[in-house]
Amino acid sequence: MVSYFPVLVFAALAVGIAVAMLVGPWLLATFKRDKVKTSAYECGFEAFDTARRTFDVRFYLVAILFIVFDLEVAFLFPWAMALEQFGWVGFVSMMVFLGVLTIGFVYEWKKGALEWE
Amino acid sequence: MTDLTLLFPTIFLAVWALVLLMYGAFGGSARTTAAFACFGLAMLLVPMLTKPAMGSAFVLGQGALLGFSPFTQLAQVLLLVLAIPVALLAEPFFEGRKAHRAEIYTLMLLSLCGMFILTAAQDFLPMYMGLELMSFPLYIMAAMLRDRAESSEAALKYFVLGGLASGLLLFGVGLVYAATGTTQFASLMVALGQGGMPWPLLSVGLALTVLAVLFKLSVVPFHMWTPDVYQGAPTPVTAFMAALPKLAAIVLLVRLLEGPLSGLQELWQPALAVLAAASMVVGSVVAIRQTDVKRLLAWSTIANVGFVLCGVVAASPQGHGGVLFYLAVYGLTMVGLFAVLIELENLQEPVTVHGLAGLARRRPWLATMLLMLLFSMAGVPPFAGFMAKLNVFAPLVAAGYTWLAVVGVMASVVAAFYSLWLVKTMYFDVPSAEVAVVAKPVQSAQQSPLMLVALAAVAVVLVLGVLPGLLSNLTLPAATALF
Repeated sequence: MVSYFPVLVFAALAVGIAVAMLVGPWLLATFKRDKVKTSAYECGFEAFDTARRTFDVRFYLVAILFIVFDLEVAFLFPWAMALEQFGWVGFVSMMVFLGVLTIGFVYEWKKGALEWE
Repeated sequence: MTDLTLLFPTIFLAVWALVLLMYGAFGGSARTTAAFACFGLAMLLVPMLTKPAMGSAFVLGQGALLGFSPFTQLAQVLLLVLAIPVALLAEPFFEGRKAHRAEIYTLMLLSLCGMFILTAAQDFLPMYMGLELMSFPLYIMAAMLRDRAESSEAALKYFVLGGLASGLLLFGVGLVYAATGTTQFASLMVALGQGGMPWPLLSVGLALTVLAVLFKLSVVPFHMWTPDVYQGAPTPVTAFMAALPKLAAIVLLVRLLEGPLSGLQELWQPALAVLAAASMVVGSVVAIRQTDVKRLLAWSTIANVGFVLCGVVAASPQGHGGVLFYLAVYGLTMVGLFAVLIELENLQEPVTVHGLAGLARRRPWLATMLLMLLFSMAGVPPFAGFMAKLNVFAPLVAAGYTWLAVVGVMASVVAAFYSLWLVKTMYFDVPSAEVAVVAKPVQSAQQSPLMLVALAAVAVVLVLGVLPGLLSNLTLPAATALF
């Protein structure tokens, strides 16, 4: 248990600094509100509508289909760097993984999930 | 490099699932996909029966990730034998309903693959993977009827609560790892044998991991999802959920308790005894109040899991053999019951307790099959359900837990009440006016796989009731070799 003491110190420091950063300005800084400062931050033109409304479920679908292949790339980079140490086992494992993903890709393509209309 | 022949059944299931997915995507009909799925499962039985592979796969340090023994082998064969009739149930139900019909078989096979990993797991990581691979297809299959709100509700409820259970499991595994520095069952067994551990950390971790398995089993304090999910899910999916995951989860529980946790028997034995008693009593009593037959069967599942836990509490080879025997018989009875229920749903019959009134006059064959399966559930002697209950209660008395056996017998009397109540409704009650109008006139005998499955279930339940040795001669030797 003693070996975990640094973790406790670190946690206490983290909480302490976070609280200090929140409470400090509230005590020390001056507040001068005006219309521009308190309005919602927008780059370009004014906000003309609320963001909380329904929009097409197809956006979600595309996002979900995208994230699978995004994560695949996230796996591929470290795999490519360490392939020399993995040898054939590593190579075949990744090929199986890619094969399964490819089957999923073929499935979504055949089912028409990639077509917008 | 590990011996891949050990993993052949597991790999085969995964590959076959992908083959079926591609076949369905490239325009194969749902009917032929179903045939291919059943063909694959039946073919897999051949090597599993003729050349059972035993040993450890992925050996690391003191233990291995997966371990195959006669116990897991028999459990996997039983899972396959139960999966084939369930796969036959799907097409007659989904035909004519709006659903992705061909994908169901892929999901069933992937879930089965997860169960195979779960039964063989000898490490917390494959255990978690198997549990998730078993559960995720179940969540999707529960939502298969997309235009029905109950189906989506069942899936969401199952997913949220299943996710919570997975979270607790991971938290528990994390605590066990923090306390012992291992995720392997073998090393954990060594660590628990030494003593002098940081006890609160380890015991909380172990309790959470066992709790996650109990959640999948729908043992009483963790059972609240069961009735809603069973009622809302499409009926063949309910049959799948009732028959298969319970068997896989209990095999894992037995191997967890008798393996790494065997040194803590005086801790988990009384705790499980209380949970078993609570499951039996609550499940049986609440089932009486139900009006929907699927919901009633869900509560009866909870009660039956309590009976099965009695065999685990006995903690002897006889008890563990009884567990396998019980779940095989119970699973088959459930599959038969759901086959009849699907047939009734297809015939536009109301599947409520009151809707069954007068069924014996309208559809004598269906009523007869329901009668036999319900008698087996109630534990009436000539049927296998009686032998199943005997096989878990006898070892329990031998282990000194007579009070639990008494509670079990009392609960099964209550359980017999609702089974016989259904029989009474079918045979002696007069149907209400609207039921008589809704129900179609009697048709000639159906030539569908539903009747085949129901008949097979009735036949096996009868044969095993008269000759229980056919199955118990397999389960008892298997239970003496858990690892």
